[in-house]
Amino acid sequence: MVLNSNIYTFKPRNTGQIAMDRENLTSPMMRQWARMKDEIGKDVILFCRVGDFYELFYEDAEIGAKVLDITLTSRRIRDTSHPLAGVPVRSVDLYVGKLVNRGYKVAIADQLEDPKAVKGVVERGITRIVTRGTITEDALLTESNNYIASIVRKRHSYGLALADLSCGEFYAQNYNSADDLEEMHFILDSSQPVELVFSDSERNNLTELWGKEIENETLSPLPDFWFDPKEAEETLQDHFDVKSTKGYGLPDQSLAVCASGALIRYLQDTQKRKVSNITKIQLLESKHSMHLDRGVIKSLELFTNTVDNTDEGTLIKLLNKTVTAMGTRELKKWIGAPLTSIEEISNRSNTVEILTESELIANHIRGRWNIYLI
Amino acid sequence: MEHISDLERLGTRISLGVSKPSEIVRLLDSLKALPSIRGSLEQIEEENQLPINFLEKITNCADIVDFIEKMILAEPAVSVADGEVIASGVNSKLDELRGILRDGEDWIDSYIDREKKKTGITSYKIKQNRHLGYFIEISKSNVSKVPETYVTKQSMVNVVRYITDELKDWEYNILNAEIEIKQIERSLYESFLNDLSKHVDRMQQVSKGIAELDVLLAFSYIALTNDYVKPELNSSTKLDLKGVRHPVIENFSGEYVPNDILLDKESQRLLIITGPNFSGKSSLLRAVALNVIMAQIGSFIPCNSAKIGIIDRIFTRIGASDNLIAGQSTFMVEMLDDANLVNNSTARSLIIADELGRGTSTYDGLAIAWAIAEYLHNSEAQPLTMIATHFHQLAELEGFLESAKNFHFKIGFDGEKPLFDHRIFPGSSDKSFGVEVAKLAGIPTEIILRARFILSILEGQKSSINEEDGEEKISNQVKDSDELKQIIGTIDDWFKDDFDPNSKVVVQSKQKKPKTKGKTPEEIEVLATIRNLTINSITPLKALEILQNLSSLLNTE
Repeated sequence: MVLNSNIYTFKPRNTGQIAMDRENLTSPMMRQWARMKDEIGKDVILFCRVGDFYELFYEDAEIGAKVLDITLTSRRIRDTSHPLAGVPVRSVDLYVGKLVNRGYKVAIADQLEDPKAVKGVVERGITRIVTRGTITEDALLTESNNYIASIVRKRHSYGLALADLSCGEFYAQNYNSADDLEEMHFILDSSQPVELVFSDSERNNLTELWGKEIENETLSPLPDFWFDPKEAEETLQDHFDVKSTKGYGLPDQSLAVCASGALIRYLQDTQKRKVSNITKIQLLESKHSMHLDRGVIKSLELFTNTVDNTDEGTLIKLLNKTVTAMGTRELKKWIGAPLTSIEEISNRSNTVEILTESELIANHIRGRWNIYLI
Repeated sequence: MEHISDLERLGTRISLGVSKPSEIVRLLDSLKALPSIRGSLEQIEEENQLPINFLEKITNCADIVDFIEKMILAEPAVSVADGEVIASGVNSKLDELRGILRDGEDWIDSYIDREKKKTGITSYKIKQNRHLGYFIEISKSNVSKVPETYVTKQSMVNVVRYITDELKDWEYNILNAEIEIKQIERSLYESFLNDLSKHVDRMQQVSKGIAELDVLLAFSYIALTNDYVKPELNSSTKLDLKGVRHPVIENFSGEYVPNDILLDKESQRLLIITGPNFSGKSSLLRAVALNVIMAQIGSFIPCNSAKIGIIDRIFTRIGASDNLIAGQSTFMVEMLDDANLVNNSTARSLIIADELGRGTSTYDGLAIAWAIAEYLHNSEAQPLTMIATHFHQLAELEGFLESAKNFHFKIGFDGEKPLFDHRIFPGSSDKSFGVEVAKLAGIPTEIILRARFILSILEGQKSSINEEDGEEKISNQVKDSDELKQIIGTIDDWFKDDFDPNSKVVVQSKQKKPKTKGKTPEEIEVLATIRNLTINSITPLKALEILQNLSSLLNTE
């Protein structure tokens, strides 16, 4: 079947070769490298801090050389050659960004001690893992939201959690029927997550969960037990420091709890710390907004045009006279989900009316009032 | 406000403890802009109470500003490792160590002065490198004057390098101070970020307020520059747009011609807009949808006046060529869209269908367009529907359907060159707009061939009932097919001038009856499944699923 091929962003690698090479890892630093590589799994490219460089070794070096256009060298120890490539510490964000945007996952290993103060090999450890859905560096993000989705299924019921770590947003919902499933797919369509986490045993059902072919989304299968209701509930109680997640409107043991718990755990795991900017779970309730599916969004050219997929001639381009990054993101959310409550719409349009009446002050707030003085 | 940085993301990086000092400076600048924004908002509220309480979200944050200014230097280094970050007065030990460093430089000057006097060496220099640390450099000509307490470290061509106990003691203190300063700064910065992260909640709230205000300010700016009006939203099922313009296109074309559009569930829920290509059908349709969206996100809209009954879902069926997805035929894409809008339209839906039935041959297309238009009009949901088509024949629906109404675009000619009016008129375009129709029917034999082919299949099905076993459904289909034949007969009439009787022979010879002989059991099953499908009640996803099942059925060897 065509449906399930090409799912994984990462090409399977020849791990046998590396295992063999590792036998020969005699230097203490390389043993350190091998230990860290075991810890993160072979999917993840390891950037290892050595002096003023982050070094990549073996298969990581080969991928790095190809994708990043950096020089692949090799160190010859006895009869085997050990491939290696490096990037300067100063520009590491740039290189990491390039890999991550191509769907790779990257782990950063830093020196945990001051090298001046230690004799012998400096202790190194993984300080964070960077994936497309867990970026926080401004330079690597666009102005749009950067969502990561977590989906879990139990027979014909589904749980969804959606987070933008860079903004501290976290949403969740339960979907219990086929109609609801369509609703969930609609939400996935409009939020366009760049990374998808799911229970490892669902590997083969991804298109069903996702509602369409996986394109270039990064896929992160997680251990099944992370989605276990009790485990998940505990993770959430611990993270939000609450006695129960019922306060967020999520029923006990519900699938939304499972999806949320696993996602929080994944975020903590990548950041190697508490993601304390996520302070609450909001329920996803798109029934309060106009339903626009992906085809409509595309054909009405709301965000991209149908000629060259840029924003030229689109509604967002016309309306985006915002002056802050938050404003731009907010506007995108609004366009993707027009309101259906007359009261809520009037609140906005009445505000617009008052602002147009106080034109000078309004422009002063925006900081572009000089346009009107010319 | 334009100087306000991305507070949401700054907040995130603070709570993750990864903010750089430069980001803290940006945060500070942003927070400092808040009082002036609040001032302006208060000024506005003196005259009009704003329906959205921005002042509640955009709080002053003066305490955070004070805290940052107290803790961090006005122009901190890029990172703690690169230089000074923490302000003076925060930690007395830090201040003391920084004092030692500063005094250290004075000490070198005074040491040089003292040693010069003592030894009489004029070319007395103190330098520093990675290898030796601090050292004294004396030119070869002065070596004889060097005291015995000096220890020779390196002899170069022109100079000799020395160290002294006094210099090394001093160096030791300086280096220790530097290391200690870094340690203290690092831990102070960490605890600073930790303290600051307690305010992240509030910063996110400010950020939310700024975001909303920013969008609404943008709306008011656009409303003023583009001459928009405030739409009236109500709970009716009418869409009454006077002088509606396409928000994007009106900025590109010199003279834009506005149009009036009225959709009303009771009396006028299906608009059939005819006219040749390029007359403005598509942009009118899109204009209506975009105006509805803009109105319901709270913006003003490009109309002279507008009354909008809330829409809860918009469907589009827009020119198949726009939606080409690799691997799917245009017809398949179109059918998926059609199935979607037929199956899922709600009582408050707005349906925009441009060139319904375009993805296939003209004849099929017209039949499909006709059927879908009819279905939508008669469906329980009764969605508001606008159909643009260059099948002027579709306008005849007005006669069959009570709430359908025709509009058309006119076209004039300046010699050979067509002149487009872009204004919409009631009624349908008459057949004398033959240019387009002629183009459509440009390959008349093909159309007729196709029509004949369909008919022959329908007849073939009738005769196949006796041969096929277990095909109960077909008798129903035959009933339907009689009706269909009537419609197709009508359609046939429109094209009868182009009909070439000779083609009939060819078609007949092409006709194939369903056969079971020579087929594998799988193939028979696949055929049976297809025959039993009720296309209208199948969702696009389901259709793909079925297709997948069928193909796997055929491919399992």
